Amino acid sequence: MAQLWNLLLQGMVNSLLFLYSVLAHNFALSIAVFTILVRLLTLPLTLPAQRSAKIQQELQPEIEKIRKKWAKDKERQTQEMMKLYKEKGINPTMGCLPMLLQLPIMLAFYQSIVKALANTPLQMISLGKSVAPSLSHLVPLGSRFLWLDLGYPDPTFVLPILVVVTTWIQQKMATPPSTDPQAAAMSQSMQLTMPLMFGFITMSLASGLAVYFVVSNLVGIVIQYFITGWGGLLPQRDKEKGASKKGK
Amino acid sequence: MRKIATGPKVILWLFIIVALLTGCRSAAPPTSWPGLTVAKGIVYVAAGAKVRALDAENGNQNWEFPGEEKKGPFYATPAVEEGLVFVGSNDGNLYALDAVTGNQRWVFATEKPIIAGPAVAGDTVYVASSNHKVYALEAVTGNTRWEFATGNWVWATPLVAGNRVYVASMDHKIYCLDVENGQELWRFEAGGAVVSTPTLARDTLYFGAFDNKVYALDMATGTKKWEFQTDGWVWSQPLVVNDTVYVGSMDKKVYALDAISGQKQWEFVTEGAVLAGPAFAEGLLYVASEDKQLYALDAATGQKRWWFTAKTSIFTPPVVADGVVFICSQDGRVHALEAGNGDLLWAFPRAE
Repeated sequence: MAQLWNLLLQGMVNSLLFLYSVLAHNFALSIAVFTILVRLLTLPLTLPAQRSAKIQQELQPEIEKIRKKWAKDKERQTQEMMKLYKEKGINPTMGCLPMLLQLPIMLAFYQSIVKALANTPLQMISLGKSVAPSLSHLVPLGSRFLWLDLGYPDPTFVLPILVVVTTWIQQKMATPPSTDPQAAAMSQSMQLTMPLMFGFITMSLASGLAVYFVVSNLVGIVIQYFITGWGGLLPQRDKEKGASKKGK
Repeated sequence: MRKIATGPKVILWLFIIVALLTGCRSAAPPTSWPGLTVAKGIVYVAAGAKVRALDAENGNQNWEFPGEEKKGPFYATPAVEEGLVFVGSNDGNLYALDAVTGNQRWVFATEKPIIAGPAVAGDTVYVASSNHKVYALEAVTGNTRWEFATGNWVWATPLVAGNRVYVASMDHKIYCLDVENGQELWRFEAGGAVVSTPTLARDTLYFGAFDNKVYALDMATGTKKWEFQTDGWVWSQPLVVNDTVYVGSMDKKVYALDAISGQKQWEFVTEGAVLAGPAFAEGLLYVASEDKQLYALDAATGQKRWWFTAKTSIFTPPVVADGVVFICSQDGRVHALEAGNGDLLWAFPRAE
Protein backbone atom coordinates (compact mmCIF):
# COMPACT_ATOMS: atom_id res chain seq x y z
CA MET A 1 0.00 0.00 0.00
CA ALA A 2 2.83 2.35 0.99
CA GLN A 3 4.61 1.49 -2.25
CA LEU A 4 1.51 2.30 -4.27
CA TRP A 5 1.20 5.63 -2.47
CA ASN A 6 4.86 6.45 -3.14
CA LEU A 7 4.40 5.55 -6.78
CA LEU A 8 1.42 7.91 -7.06
CA LEU A 9 3.37 10.65 -5.31
CA GLN A 10 6.40 10.06 -7.50
CA GLY A 11 4.27 10.29 -10.63
CA MET A 12 2.75 13.55 -9.51
CA VAL A 13 6.07 15.12 -8.45
CA ASN A 14 7.60 14.27 -11.83
CA SER A 15 4.52 15.53 -13.68
CA LEU A 16 4.83 18.82 -11.81
CA LEU A 17 8.51 19.01 -12.65
CA PHE A 18 7.82 18.20 -16.29
CA LEU A 19 5.24 20.99 -16.46
CA TYR A 20 7.77 23.28 -14.77
CA SER A 21 10.28 22.46 -17.53
CA VAL A 22 7.84 23.23 -20.34
CA LEU A 23 6.14 26.22 -18.70
CA ALA A 24 9.11 28.57 -18.70
CA HIS A 25 10.31 27.36 -15.28
CA ASN A 26 7.31 28.97 -13.61
CA PHE A 27 6.23 26.77 -10.72
CA ALA A 28 3.08 28.77 -9.95
CA LEU A 29 1.95 28.16 -13.53
CA SER A 30 2.87 24.47 -13.22
CA ILE A 31 0.75 24.18 -10.07
CA ALA A 32 -2.14 25.97 -11.79
CA VAL A 33 -2.03 23.79 -14.93
CA PHE A 34 -1.62 20.59 -12.96
CA THR A 35 -4.48 21.56 -10.63
CA ILE A 36 -6.75 22.05 -13.65
CA LEU A 37 -5.65 18.69 -15.11
CA VAL A 38 -6.22 16.85 -11.82
CA ARG A 39 -9.62 18.49 -11.34
CA LEU A 40 -10.63 17.49 -14.87
CA LEU A 41 -9.33 13.94 -14.43
CA THR A 42 -11.24 13.52 -11.17
CA LEU A 43 -14.41 14.92 -12.74
CA PRO A 44 -15.97 11.44 -13.16
CA LEU A 45 -15.61 11.03 -9.42
CA THR A 46 -17.05 14.40 -8.41
CA LEU A 47 -19.73 14.84 -11.06
CA PRO A 48 -22.22 12.18 -9.80
CA ALA A 49 -22.26 13.79 -6.35
CA GLN A 50 -22.84 17.25 -7.80
CA ARG A 51 -25.60 15.99 -10.13
CA SER A 52 -27.25 14.15 -7.26
CA ALA A 53 -27.13 17.37 -5.20
CA LYS A 54 -28.77 19.24 -8.07
CA ILE A 55 -31.62 16.76 -8.34
CA GLN A 56 -32.09 16.90 -4.57
CA GLN A 57 -32.26 20.66 -4.90
CA GLU A 58 -34.98 20.36 -7.54
CA LEU A 59 -36.89 17.96 -5.30
CA GLN A 60 -36.93 20.45 -2.41
CA PRO A 61 -40.65 21.40 -2.83
CA GLU A 62 -41.68 17.74 -2.82
CA ILE A 63 -39.42 16.95 0.14
CA GLU A 64 -40.95 19.87 1.99
CA LYS A 65 -44.42 18.55 1.29
CA ILE A 66 -43.43 15.13 2.72
CA ARG A 67 -41.92 16.83 5.78
CA LYS A 68 -45.08 18.77 6.48
CA LYS A 69 -47.37 15.85 5.77
CA TRP A 70 -45.49 13.43 8.05
CA ALA A 71 -44.19 15.93 10.56
CA LYS A 72 -45.30 13.78 13.50
CA ASP A 73 -44.22 10.43 12.08
CA LYS A 74 -40.47 10.56 11.47
CA GLU A 75 -40.26 6.94 10.37
CA ARG A 76 -42.88 7.41 7.70
CA GLN A 77 -41.29 10.68 6.68
CA THR A 78 -38.00 8.84 6.01
CA GLN A 79 -39.75 6.05 4.14
CA GLU A 80 -41.55 8.53 1.89
CA MET A 81 -38.35 10.44 1.16
CA MET A 82 -36.49 7.27 0.28
CA LYS A 83 -39.38 6.31 -1.97
CA LEU A 84 -39.14 9.67 -3.71
CA TYR A 85 -35.37 9.32 -4.17
CA LYS A 86 -35.90 5.83 -5.61
CA GLU A 87 -38.52 7.12 -8.04
CA LYS A 88 -36.14 9.83 -9.26
CA GLY A 89 -33.27 7.35 -9.50
CA ILE A 90 -30.95 9.00 -6.98
CA ASN A 91 -29.17 7.57 -3.99
CA PRO A 92 -28.57 10.29 -1.37
CA THR A 93 -25.68 8.37 0.17
CA MET A 94 -23.93 7.76 -3.18
CA GLY A 95 -22.47 11.26 -3.12
CA CYS A 96 -19.97 10.28 -0.43
CA LEU A 97 -18.17 7.43 -2.18
CA PRO A 98 -16.80 9.34 -5.18
CA MET A 99 -15.77 12.15 -2.84
CA LEU A 100 -13.87 9.65 -0.67
CA LEU A 101 -12.22 8.12 -3.76
CA GLN A 102 -11.16 11.58 -4.81
CA LEU A 103 -9.61 12.32 -1.43
CA PRO A 104 -6.37 10.26 -1.81
CA ILE A 105 -5.76 11.84 -5.21
CA MET A 106 -6.10 15.33 -3.80
CA LEU A 107 -3.94 14.43 -0.80
CA ALA A 108 -1.23 12.99 -3.06
CA PHE A 109 -1.33 16.12 -5.20
CA TYR A 110 -1.09 18.29 -2.12
CA GLN A 111 1.86 16.30 -0.78
CA SER A 112 3.61 16.33 -4.15
CA ILE A 113 3.50 20.15 -4.19
CA VAL A 114 5.01 20.22 -0.69
CA LYS A 115 7.65 17.71 -1.79
CA ALA A 116 8.56 19.62 -4.96
CA LEU A 117 8.94 22.85 -3.00
CA ALA A 118 11.64 21.30 -0.78
CA ASN A 119 13.59 24.02 0.99
CA THR A 120 15.33 22.13 3.77
CA PRO A 121 18.02 19.43 3.41
CA LEU A 122 15.77 16.65 4.69
CA GLN A 123 12.96 17.65 2.32
CA MET A 124 15.53 17.77 -0.46
CA ILE A 125 16.65 14.21 0.29
CA SER A 126 13.05 13.07 0.07
CA LEU A 127 12.67 14.90 -3.26
CA GLY A 128 15.92 13.36 -4.51
CA LYS A 129 14.44 9.90 -4.09
CA SER A 130 11.40 10.78 -6.22
CA VAL A 131 12.81 12.79 -9.09
CA ALA A 132 13.53 11.12 -12.43
CA PRO A 133 17.21 11.54 -13.44
CA SER A 134 16.18 13.45 -16.57
CA LEU A 135 14.44 16.07 -14.40
CA SER A 136 17.09 16.34 -11.65
CA HIS A 137 18.66 19.38 -13.26
CA LEU A 138 15.51 21.39 -12.45
CA VAL A 139 16.08 21.13 -8.68
CA PRO A 140 15.82 23.35 -6.70
CA LEU A 141 12.77 24.82 -8.38
CA GLY A 142 12.62 28.56 -8.86
CA SER A 143 10.15 29.43 -6.16
CA ARG A 144 9.72 33.15 -6.91
CA PHE A 145 6.44 34.26 -8.48
CA LEU A 146 5.35 37.91 -8.45
CA TRP A 147 5.79 38.97 -4.81
CA LEU A 148 5.69 35.37 -3.58
CA ASP A 149 8.27 32.84 -2.53
CA LEU A 150 6.14 29.76 -3.20
CA GLY A 151 7.91 27.78 -0.48
CA TYR A 152 6.90 30.31 2.21
CA PRO A 153 3.58 31.87 3.33
CA ASP A 154 2.31 34.95 1.50
CA PRO A 155 3.46 37.93 3.60
CA THR A 156 0.78 40.22 2.12
CA PHE A 157 -2.23 37.98 2.95
CA VAL A 158 -3.55 38.48 -0.59
CA LEU A 159 -3.64 34.73 -1.27
CA PRO A 160 -5.34 33.79 2.04
CA ILE A 161 -8.02 36.39 1.25
CA LEU A 162 -8.47 34.95 -2.27
CA VAL A 163 -8.74 31.48 -0.72
CA VAL A 164 -11.49 32.71 1.64
CA VAL A 165 -13.43 34.43 -1.17
CA THR A 166 -13.21 31.58 -3.70
CA THR A 167 -14.03 28.92 -1.09
CA TRP A 168 -17.05 30.92 0.01
CA ILE A 169 -18.30 31.40 -3.57
CA GLN A 170 -17.88 27.73 -4.42
CA GLN A 171 -19.66 26.64 -1.25
CA LYS A 172 -22.47 29.14 -1.72
CA MET A 173 -23.03 27.89 -5.28
CA ALA A 174 -22.97 24.24 -4.21
CA THR A 175 -25.32 24.63 -1.26
CA PRO A 176 -29.01 24.67 -2.23
CA PRO A 177 -31.23 27.06 -0.24
CA SER A 178 -32.95 24.98 2.40
CA THR A 179 -36.51 25.44 3.57
CA ASP A 180 -35.70 23.77 6.85
CA PRO A 181 -34.63 26.54 9.27
CA GLN A 182 -32.30 24.28 11.28
CA ALA A 183 -30.52 22.96 8.18
CA ALA A 184 -30.37 26.49 6.73
CA ALA A 185 -28.74 27.83 9.92
CA MET A 186 -26.22 25.02 9.92
CA SER A 187 -25.30 25.45 6.26
CA GLN A 188 -25.00 29.22 6.74
CA SER A 189 -22.56 28.77 9.61
CA MET A 190 -20.62 26.22 7.54
CA GLN A 191 -20.43 28.64 4.63
CA LEU A 192 -18.67 31.10 6.91
CA THR A 193 -16.60 28.71 9.01
CA MET A 194 -15.06 26.67 6.19
CA PRO A 195 -13.67 29.57 4.10
CA LEU A 196 -12.33 31.31 7.21
CA MET A 197 -10.72 28.09 8.38
CA PHE A 198 -9.11 27.57 4.97
CA GLY A 199 -7.94 31.19 4.92
CA PHE A 200 -6.47 30.88 8.40
CA ILE A 201 -4.61 27.66 7.54
CA THR A 202 -3.33 29.20 4.28
CA MET A 203 -1.71 32.01 6.26
CA SER A 204 0.81 29.52 7.66
CA LEU A 205 1.19 27.34 4.55
CA ALA A 206 3.59 27.66 1.64
CA SER A 207 2.03 30.11 -0.83
CA GLY A 208 2.41 27.46 -3.57
CA LEU A 209 -0.32 25.54 -1.79
CA ALA A 210 -2.47 28.65 -1.62
CA VAL A 211 -2.13 28.90 -5.42
CA TYR A 212 -3.40 25.33 -5.60
CA PHE A 213 -6.41 26.19 -3.36
CA VAL A 214 -7.34 29.25 -5.39
CA VAL A 215 -7.05 27.54 -8.79
CA SER A 216 -8.83 24.43 -7.50
CA ASN A 217 -11.67 26.61 -6.19
CA LEU A 218 -11.90 28.55 -9.46
CA VAL A 219 -12.15 25.29 -11.44
CA GLY A 220 -14.75 24.09 -8.94
CA ILE A 221 -16.75 27.30 -9.45
CA VAL A 222 -16.75 26.84 -13.24
CA ILE A 223 -17.80 23.17 -12.98
CA GLN A 224 -20.47 24.07 -10.43
CA TYR A 225 -21.81 26.80 -12.71
CA PHE A 226 -22.40 24.32 -15.53
CA ILE A 227 -24.22 21.95 -13.18
CA THR A 228 -26.29 24.17 -10.89
CA GLY A 229 -25.85 27.65 -12.35
CA TRP A 230 -25.20 30.28 -9.67
CA GLY A 231 -27.04 28.04 -7.18
CA GLY A 232 -27.19 29.50 -3.70
CA LEU A 233 -24.97 32.46 -4.71
CA LEU A 234 -27.60 34.16 -6.88
CA PRO A 235 -30.82 32.16 -6.34
CA GLN A 236 -32.98 35.03 -7.69
CA ARG A 237 -31.11 35.14 -11.00
CA ASP A 238 -31.51 31.37 -11.43
CA LYS A 239 -35.23 31.62 -10.66
CA GLU A 240 -35.66 34.40 -13.23
CA LYS A 241 -33.68 32.38 -15.75
CA GLY A 242 -35.90 29.37 -15.04
CA ALA A 243 -39.05 31.47 -15.36
CA SER A 244 -37.98 33.00 -18.68
CA LYS A 245 -37.19 29.54 -20.00
CA LYS A 246 -40.68 28.36 -18.97
CA GLY A 247 -42.24 31.46 -20.56
CA LYS A 248 -40.62 30.65 -23.86
CA MET B 1 -32.97 11.53 9.45
CA ARG B 2 -31.17 13.97 7.13
CA LYS B 3 -30.79 16.50 9.91
CA ILE B 4 -29.14 13.95 12.16
CA ALA B 5 -26.80 12.76 9.41
CA THR B 6 -25.59 16.24 8.39
CA GLY B 7 -23.82 17.09 11.68
CA PRO B 8 -21.41 14.14 11.88
CA LYS B 9 -20.74 14.36 8.13
CA VAL B 10 -19.71 18.00 8.44
CA ILE B 11 -17.55 17.27 11.48
CA LEU B 12 -15.93 14.35 9.64
CA TRP B 13 -15.11 16.50 6.63
CA LEU B 14 -13.73 19.29 8.82
CA PHE B 15 -11.62 16.78 10.70
CA ILE B 16 -10.25 15.26 7.47
CA ILE B 17 -9.45 18.67 5.98
CA VAL B 18 -7.73 19.99 9.11
CA ALA B 19 -5.77 16.73 9.48
CA LEU B 20 -4.62 16.86 5.87
CA LEU B 21 -3.66 20.50 5.93
CA THR B 22 -1.89 20.50 9.24
CA GLY B 23 0.04 17.41 8.15
CA CYS B 24 1.43 19.30 5.20
CA ARG B 25 2.59 22.50 6.89
CA SER B 26 5.73 23.38 5.03
CA ALA B 27 6.34 26.39 7.24
CA ALA B 28 6.76 24.16 10.31
CA PRO B 29 10.22 24.19 11.89
CA PRO B 30 12.33 21.63 10.04
CA THR B 31 14.15 18.74 11.67
CA SER B 32 17.84 19.19 12.30
CA TRP B 33 20.76 17.58 10.48
CA PRO B 34 23.41 17.34 13.18
CA GLY B 35 26.89 18.72 12.65
CA LEU B 36 29.96 17.27 14.41
CA THR B 37 33.51 18.58 14.85
CA VAL B 38 36.35 17.40 17.06
CA ALA B 39 39.10 19.80 18.10
CA LYS B 40 41.67 19.66 20.91
CA GLY B 41 39.95 16.84 22.78
CA ILE B 42 36.51 18.40 22.60
CA VAL B 43 33.57 17.17 20.52
CA TYR B 44 31.38 20.02 19.32
CA VAL B 45 27.96 18.86 18.20
CA ALA B 46 25.16 21.02 16.81
CA ALA B 47 21.93 19.01 16.86
CA GLY B 48 18.31 20.04 17.16
CA ALA B 49 18.17 23.38 18.96
CA LYS B 50 21.46 22.98 20.88
CA VAL B 51 25.19 23.25 20.34
CA ARG B 52 27.12 21.19 22.88
CA ALA B 53 30.75 20.74 23.83
CA LEU B 54 31.55 17.23 25.07
CA ASP B 55 34.76 15.82 26.49
CA ALA B 56 36.11 13.47 23.78
CA GLU B 57 37.49 11.15 26.47
CA ASN B 58 34.25 10.35 28.23
CA GLY B 59 31.37 12.27 26.65
CA ASN B 60 30.85 14.54 29.66
CA GLN B 61 29.14 17.78 28.69
CA ASN B 62 31.19 20.95 29.20
CA TRP B 63 28.56 23.42 28.07
CA GLU B 64 25.53 23.89 25.84
CA PHE B 65 24.23 26.79 23.80
CA PRO B 66 21.75 28.45 23.95
CA GLY B 67 20.54 28.39 27.53
CA GLU B 68 16.84 29.09 27.83
CA GLU B 69 16.40 31.06 24.59
CA LYS B 70 15.13 29.38 21.45
CA LYS B 71 17.63 29.19 18.58
CA GLY B 72 18.24 26.76 15.73
CA PRO B 73 17.52 24.14 14.61
CA PHE B 74 21.13 23.58 13.58
CA TYR B 75 22.14 21.89 10.32
CA ALA B 76 25.64 23.23 10.01
CA THR B 77 28.86 21.60 11.17
CA PRO B 78 30.59 23.85 13.73
CA ALA B 79 34.03 25.23 12.93
CA VAL B 80 36.57 25.83 15.71
CA GLU B 81 39.49 28.26 15.57
CA GLU B 82 41.35 30.53 17.96
CA GLY B 83 39.16 29.81 20.95
CA LEU B 84 35.93 30.43 19.06
CA VAL B 85 33.24 28.05 17.83
CA PHE B 86 31.36 29.22 14.74
CA VAL B 87 28.02 27.65 13.99
CA GLY B 88 25.28 28.59 11.55
CA SER B 89 21.63 28.15 12.34
CA ASN B 90 18.37 27.66 10.51
CA ASP B 91 17.28 30.99 12.07
CA GLY B 92 19.69 32.67 9.60
CA ASN B 93 22.34 33.62 12.17
CA LEU B 94 25.98 32.68 12.42
CA TYR B 95 26.89 32.44 16.10
CA ALA B 96 30.45 32.88 17.37
CA LEU B 97 30.76 31.20 20.77
CA ASP B 98 33.53 31.05 23.31
CA ALA B 99 35.03 27.56 22.88
CA VAL B 100 35.62 27.20 26.63
CA THR B 101 32.37 28.55 28.08
CA GLY B 102 29.91 28.45 25.18
CA ASN B 103 29.04 32.12 25.77
CA GLN B 104 27.99 34.06 22.69
CA ARG B 105 30.66 36.50 21.47
CA TRP B 106 28.90 37.88 18.42
CA VAL B 107 26.16 37.06 15.95
CA PHE B 108 25.91 37.74 12.22
CA ALA B 109 22.47 37.75 10.59
CA THR B 110 21.93 36.58 7.01
CA GLU B 111 18.09 36.53 7.20
CA LYS B 112 17.83 33.10 5.56
CA PRO B 113 18.70 29.63 6.90
CA ILE B 114 22.36 28.72 7.17
CA ILE B 115 22.70 25.08 6.18
CA ALA B 116 26.42 25.03 5.36
CA GLY B 117 29.13 24.84 7.97
CA PRO B 118 31.44 27.87 8.10
CA ALA B 119 35.10 27.68 7.08
CA VAL B 120 37.84 29.46 9.01
CA ALA B 121 41.19 30.49 7.55
CA GLY B 122 43.51 32.86 9.36
CA ASP B 123 41.49 35.65 10.91
CA THR B 124 38.55 35.25 8.54
CA VAL B 125 35.44 33.12 8.77
CA TYR B 126 33.58 32.30 5.55
CA VAL B 127 29.89 31.55 5.82
CA ALA B 128 27.33 30.72 3.15
CA SER B 129 23.59 31.20 3.44
CA SER B 130 20.31 30.29 1.78
CA ASN B 131 20.13 33.99 0.84
CA HIS B 132 22.40 32.92 -2.09
CA LYS B 133 25.46 34.70 -0.64
CA VAL B 134 28.79 33.82 0.83
CA TYR B 135 30.34 36.22 3.36
CA ALA B 136 33.90 36.77 4.53
CA LEU B 137 33.78 38.01 8.13
CA GLU B 138 36.39 39.12 10.63
CA ALA B 139 36.63 36.14 12.97
CA VAL B 140 37.05 38.26 16.10
CA THR B 141 34.28 40.80 15.51
CA GLY B 142 31.96 39.36 12.86
CA ASN B 143 32.38 42.48 10.70
CA THR B 144 31.89 41.90 6.97
CA ARG B 145 35.00 42.02 4.76
CA TRP B 146 33.26 41.14 1.54
CA GLU B 147 30.28 39.24 0.21
CA PHE B 148 29.60 37.40 -3.02
CA ALA B 149 26.19 36.58 -4.47
CA THR B 150 25.55 33.33 -6.34
CA GLY B 151 22.36 32.48 -8.21
CA ASN B 152 20.77 30.19 -5.62
CA TRP B 153 21.00 28.73 -2.13
CA VAL B 154 24.46 27.82 -0.89
CA TRP B 155 24.32 24.67 1.26
CA ALA B 156 27.94 23.56 0.93
CA THR B 157 30.78 24.69 3.18
CA PRO B 158 33.12 27.08 1.31
CA LEU B 159 36.58 25.64 0.74
CA VAL B 160 39.53 27.94 1.44
CA ALA B 161 42.89 27.00 -0.05
CA GLY B 162 45.80 29.38 -0.43
CA ASN B 163 44.53 32.65 -1.83
CA ARG B 164 41.29 31.19 -3.19
CA VAL B 165 37.82 30.36 -1.90
CA TYR B 166 35.75 27.73 -3.71
CA VAL B 167 32.00 28.09 -3.36
CA ALA B 168 29.49 25.46 -4.50
CA SER B 169 25.99 26.78 -5.17
CA MET B 170 22.63 25.27 -5.98
CA ASP B 171 22.65 27.39 -9.15
CA HIS B 172 24.71 24.43 -10.55
CA LYS B 173 27.97 26.35 -10.34
CA ILE B 174 31.29 26.20 -8.56
CA TYR B 175 32.83 29.64 -8.10
CA CYS B 176 36.50 30.30 -7.53
CA LEU B 177 36.96 33.60 -5.67
CA ASP B 178 39.89 35.70 -4.59
CA VAL B 179 40.25 35.26 -0.84
CA GLU B 180 41.16 38.93 -0.35
CA ASN B 181 38.20 40.65 -2.00
CA GLY B 182 35.73 38.01 -3.21
CA GLN B 183 36.39 38.76 -6.88
CA GLU B 184 35.35 35.91 -9.17
CA LEU B 185 38.31 34.20 -10.87
CA TRP B 186 36.46 31.44 -12.68
CA ARG B 187 33.27 29.43 -12.55
CA PHE B 188 32.28 25.94 -13.65
CA GLU B 189 28.73 24.86 -14.43
CA ALA B 190 27.69 21.31 -13.51
CA GLY B 191 24.55 19.59 -14.78
CA GLY B 192 22.72 19.96 -11.48
CA ALA B 193 22.69 21.75 -8.13
CA VAL B 194 25.87 21.42 -6.09
CA VAL B 195 25.55 20.86 -2.33
CA SER B 196 28.63 18.68 -1.99
CA THR B 197 31.43 20.55 -0.25
CA PRO B 198 34.40 20.50 -2.63
CA THR B 199 37.67 18.81 -1.74
CA LEU B 200 41.06 19.92 -2.98
CA ALA B 201 43.90 17.46 -3.50
CA ARG B 202 47.09 18.41 -5.26
CA ASP B 203 45.90 20.56 -8.16
CA THR B 204 42.40 19.10 -8.49
CA LEU B 205 39.03 20.08 -7.09
CA TYR B 206 36.55 17.21 -6.50
CA PHE B 207 32.83 17.54 -5.85
CA GLY B 208 29.49 15.90 -6.63
CA ALA B 209 26.22 17.27 -7.99
CA PHE B 210 22.49 16.57 -8.35
CA ASP B 211 23.12 15.39 -11.92
CA ASN B 212 24.40 12.16 -10.26
CA LYS B 213 28.00 12.93 -11.21
CA VAL B 214 31.32 13.30 -9.44
CA TYR B 215 33.52 15.97 -11.04
CA ALA B 216 37.26 16.61 -11.03
CA LEU B 217 38.35 20.13 -12.08
CA ASP B 218 41.67 21.81 -12.59
CA MET B 219 41.89 24.09 -9.55
CA ALA B 220 43.67 26.86 -11.43
CA THR B 221 41.33 27.19 -14.40
CA GLY B 222 38.15 25.28 -13.55
CA THR B 223 38.61 23.05 -16.59
CA LYS B 224 37.00 19.63 -16.24
CA LYS B 225 39.47 16.75 -15.95
CA TRP B 226 36.95 13.93 -15.66
CA GLU B 227 33.45 13.07 -14.46
CA PHE B 228 32.02 9.88 -13.01
CA GLN B 229 28.36 8.90 -13.30
CA THR B 230 26.53 7.38 -10.30
CA ASP B 231 22.84 6.43 -10.08
CA GLY B 232 21.85 9.03 -7.50
CA TRP B 233 22.46 12.61 -6.39
CA VAL B 234 25.97 13.09 -5.05
CA TRP B 235 25.62 15.08 -1.83
CA SER B 236 28.64 13.70 0.03
CA GLN B 237 31.96 15.56 0.22
CA PRO B 238 34.60 13.50 -1.60
CA LEU B 239 37.59 12.34 0.42
CA VAL B 240 40.94 11.97 -1.29
CA VAL B 241 43.52 9.62 0.19
CA ASN B 242 46.71 9.03 -1.78
CA ASP B 243 45.44 8.65 -5.34
CA THR B 244 41.92 7.51 -4.55
CA VAL B 245 38.72 9.55 -4.31
CA TYR B 246 36.09 8.10 -1.95
CA VAL B 247 32.59 9.46 -2.38
CA GLY B 248 29.05 8.45 -1.40
CA SER B 249 25.92 8.74 -3.51
CA MET B 250 22.18 8.68 -2.94
CA ASP B 251 22.21 5.46 -5.00
CA LYS B 252 23.17 3.81 -1.65
CA LYS B 253 26.76 3.21 -2.72
CA VAL B 254 30.17 4.48 -1.78
CA TYR B 255 32.69 4.55 -4.62
CA ALA B 256 36.47 4.42 -4.73
CA LEU B 257 37.69 6.21 -7.87
CA ASP B 258 41.10 6.74 -9.32
CA ALA B 259 41.94 10.39 -8.57
CA ILE B 260 43.75 10.88 -11.87
CA SER B 261 41.40 9.17 -14.33
CA GLY B 262 38.08 8.85 -12.48
CA GLN B 263 38.04 5.09 -13.13
CA LYS B 264 36.10 3.06 -10.56
CA GLN B 265 38.31 0.90 -8.32
CA TRP B 266 35.53 -0.60 -6.21
CA GLU B 267 32.07 0.15 -4.86
CA PHE B 268 30.32 -0.84 -1.65
CA VAL B 269 26.54 -1.06 -1.42
CA THR B 270 24.70 0.00 1.75
CA GLU B 271 20.96 -0.19 2.44
CA GLY B 272 20.37 3.55 2.30
CA ALA B 273 21.53 6.82 0.74
CA VAL B 274 25.12 7.77 1.53
CA LEU B 275 24.96 11.51 2.18
CA ALA B 276 27.89 11.97 4.54
CA GLY B 277 31.43 12.26 3.33
CA PRO B 278 33.56 9.31 4.46
CA ALA B 279 36.46 9.48 6.93
CA PHE B 280 39.79 7.62 6.80
CA ALA B 281 42.34 6.40 9.32
CA GLU B 282 44.84 3.57 9.47
CA GLY B 283 43.75 1.92 6.22
CA LEU B 284 40.06 1.95 7.14
CA LEU B 285 37.34 3.96 5.44
CA TYR B 286 34.39 4.95 7.63
CA VAL B 287 31.11 5.28 5.76
CA ALA B 288 27.86 6.46 7.37
CA SER B 289 24.57 5.59 5.72
CA GLU B 290 20.87 6.34 5.90
CA ASP B 291 20.47 2.65 6.84
CA LYS B 292 21.63 3.59 10.41
CA GLN B 293 24.98 1.85 9.98
CA LEU B 294 28.52 3.07 10.22
CA TYR B 295 30.66 0.77 8.07
CA ALA B 296 34.40 0.37 8.47
CA LEU B 297 35.74 -0.78 5.10
CA ASP B 298 39.15 -1.79 3.94
CA ALA B 299 40.11 1.35 1.98
CA ALA B 300 42.06 -0.69 -0.55
CA THR B 301 39.42 -3.29 -1.40
CA GLY B 302 36.08 -2.06 -0.04
CA GLN B 303 35.72 -5.19 2.11
CA LYS B 304 33.62 -4.71 5.25
CA ARG B 305 35.72 -5.02 8.44
CA TRP B 306 33.15 -4.08 11.07
CA TRP B 307 29.97 -2.07 11.40
CA PHE B 308 28.01 -0.27 14.09
CA THR B 309 24.24 0.19 14.15
CA ALA B 310 22.75 3.43 15.48
CA LYS B 311 19.09 3.94 16.36
CA THR B 312 18.44 6.32 13.47
CA SER B 313 19.94 7.22 10.08
CA ILE B 314 23.40 8.78 9.98
CA PHE B 315 23.69 11.78 7.64
CA THR B 316 26.51 13.47 9.55
CA PRO B 317 30.07 12.74 8.37
CA PRO B 318 32.02 10.62 10.86
CA VAL B 319 35.14 12.18 12.42
CA VAL B 320 38.24 10.21 13.40
CA ALA B 321 40.57 11.59 16.06
CA ASP B 322 43.16 9.81 18.21
CA GLY B 323 41.98 6.30 17.34
CA VAL B 324 38.32 7.08 18.01
CA VAL B 325 35.50 7.42 15.48
CA PHE B 326 32.81 9.91 16.45
CA ILE B 327 29.40 9.72 14.83
CA CYS B 328 26.13 11.56 15.36
CA SER B 329 22.87 10.02 14.22
CA GLN B 330 19.74 11.92 13.20
CA ASP B 331 18.32 11.69 16.75
CA GLY B 332 21.27 13.84 17.89
CA ARG B 333 22.94 10.95 19.75
CA VAL B 334 26.75 11.00 19.68
CA HIS B 335 28.69 7.73 19.76
CA ALA B 336 32.43 7.33 20.32
CA LEU B 337 33.72 4.06 18.86
CA GLU B 338 37.09 2.36 18.90
CA ALA B 339 38.39 3.03 15.38
CA GLY B 340 39.98 -0.41 15.01
CA ASN B 341 37.05 -2.62 15.96
CA GLY B 342 33.95 -0.48 16.50
CA ASP B 343 33.65 -1.08 20.26
CA LEU B 344 31.45 1.55 21.89
CA LEU B 345 33.45 3.78 24.23
CA TRP B 346 30.68 6.15 25.22
CA ALA B 347 27.42 7.67 23.99
CA PHE B 348 25.77 11.01 24.63
CA PRO B 349 23.19 11.31 26.05
CA ARG B 350 23.98 8.28 28.19
CA ALA B 351 20.47 7.40 29.34
CA GLU B 352 17.95 6.14 26.79
